[in-house]
Amino acid sequence: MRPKVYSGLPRWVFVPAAAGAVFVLLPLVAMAAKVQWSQFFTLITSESSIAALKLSLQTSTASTVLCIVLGVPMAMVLARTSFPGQRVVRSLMLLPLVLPPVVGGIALLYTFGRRGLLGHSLEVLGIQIAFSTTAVVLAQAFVALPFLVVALEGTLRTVGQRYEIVAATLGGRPTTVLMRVTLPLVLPGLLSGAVLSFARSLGEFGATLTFAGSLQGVTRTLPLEIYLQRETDADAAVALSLVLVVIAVLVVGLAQGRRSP
Amino acid sequence: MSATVTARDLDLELQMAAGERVAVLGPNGAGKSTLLAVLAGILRPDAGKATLGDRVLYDRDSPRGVWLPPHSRGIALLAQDPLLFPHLSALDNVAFGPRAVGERPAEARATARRWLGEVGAGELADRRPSQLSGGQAQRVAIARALAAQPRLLLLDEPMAALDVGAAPLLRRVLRRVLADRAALIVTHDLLDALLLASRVVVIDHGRIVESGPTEEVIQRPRTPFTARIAGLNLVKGVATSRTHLRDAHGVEVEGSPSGDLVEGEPALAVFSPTAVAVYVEPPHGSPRNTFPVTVAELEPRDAQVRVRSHDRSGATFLADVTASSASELDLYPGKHVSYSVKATAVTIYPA
Repeated sequence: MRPKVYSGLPRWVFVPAAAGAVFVLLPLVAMAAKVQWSQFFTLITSESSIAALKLSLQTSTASTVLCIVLGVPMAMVLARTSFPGQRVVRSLMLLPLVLPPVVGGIALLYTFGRRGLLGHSLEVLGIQIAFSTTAVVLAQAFVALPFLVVALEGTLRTVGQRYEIVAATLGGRPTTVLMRVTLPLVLPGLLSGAVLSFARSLGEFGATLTFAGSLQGVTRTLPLEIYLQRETDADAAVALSLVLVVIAVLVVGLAQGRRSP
Repeated sequence: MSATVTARDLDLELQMAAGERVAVLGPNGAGKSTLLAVLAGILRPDAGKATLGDRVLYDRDSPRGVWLPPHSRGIALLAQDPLLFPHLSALDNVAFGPRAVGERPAEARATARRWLGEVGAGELADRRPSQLSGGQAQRVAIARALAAQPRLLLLDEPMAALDVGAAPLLRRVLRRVLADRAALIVTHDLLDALLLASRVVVIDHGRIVESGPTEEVIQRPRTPFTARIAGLNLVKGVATSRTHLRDAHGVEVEGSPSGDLVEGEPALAVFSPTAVAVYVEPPHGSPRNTFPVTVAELEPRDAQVRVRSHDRSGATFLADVTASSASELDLYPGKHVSYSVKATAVTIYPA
């Protein structure tokens, strides 16, 4: 048992703090209360639900991999080098954090869409991205990438360069040092960044709908399916929402568990 | 080597013989760590050139501007903090260097075991760094640095972060493994300089102000900093005869000459704090050397008291007196006293 330390907080602070906690939890409870438990299993195992869940897990996994492949090098460059305009570049890289996802979707459409910046050249090569599963992955990665970059850059800065310098003076080439020293040291940060990206990808709605549309089994992920079901079958929407909540809780728990072993 | 780092106010030239161990002394912020960083390849100097054996480490003066990255220099760095990789066992930490140059894992581990044995840490092989004491971790760090087979070893106050109990053992280990090895040792400790190095270089404000065999520099310091490290009082002045000098305040100092004093040339005199007698009234008609000083600080040391005083120009003079005479003299900061020292206890030499 850890001895209790005097918190120094005024008592009244606990009132808004508790109100905030209720504000977060009450809607979840209210939703759970609406679930038709007798039909729960049937509702979440309908063909369209299963297709949406499968697609969501697949695309979120793919987008997390894409975030790692692109985000790890980005975080390293931001944390370990200095170049003119670095602050501006960092702010721009983190832009999707504050951008409305719909705007991100439109931007992606004008990049990879048929009449987009790259879309036309890609179409010549026979590649069509917009309104495909690839588009879903791109939309998710676009909004999720900053989460991984922010988490990893912070960890890289906290760990510092001292171990890397020692490794270099021991004869380690930059790639050896990166693989055998830097990455193992920042692994906790990388994992929590990856978990955050996965969670963000899983919840992606606006950019996906705008850039990828809503085709069952191709681009209709779980959030899109929930939104669609809400119009026709509210019970199914609630049941699927609960599935997303459970996945989110698992993901957060996983991230917390990693952080405090 | 020579190096200039304008931003850090470093500008010096240094040469080392093969297998020579050189201690680098100097006040805080003098540029010692910058010097190591430049040699290790962590910091790029603005100007200068360095070679290690036949290899050019950097050459900022040539138009082509050679600069070797740290991993191809063959220079290992041992810092105050052992900085063992926390995710690797002691053995794998030591095996890092051999692995980095392409040894197979089994081969590298065998090499690592050998080096761990060399520093008396063989039984620690499977421990994680978090399970090692400060002294043990530093021994593993030494093994790791040596296993990389560096052609020059840089030590940055390797004993500074250790508790008093662990330092002697580590000092012995270092003394043994550093024999016949080129090493540059930054230290604040006179004992380290004497035990580990054959030559010392004193740096101040990024410049070398003193250099020579350790014993000689310690016995005949030329700067107040070195005198302090050596625990001696230093008087600067001008020689007035073969055995006398006169300081800036006109105080005449007599001593036993070491080296030929030339009248009118700058000269230095040193004496130990233990040779000083403290008087409240200046002793008259005494053949001793007398310095009028103001007490600044009293520092008890066992049954002794070290009396730190300043002369009119602010130069520090130390005297060791017994606790009982300190109380008899009623010494307190601000009191004007005279330091008196016999001519036979003073060494005088050309600056």
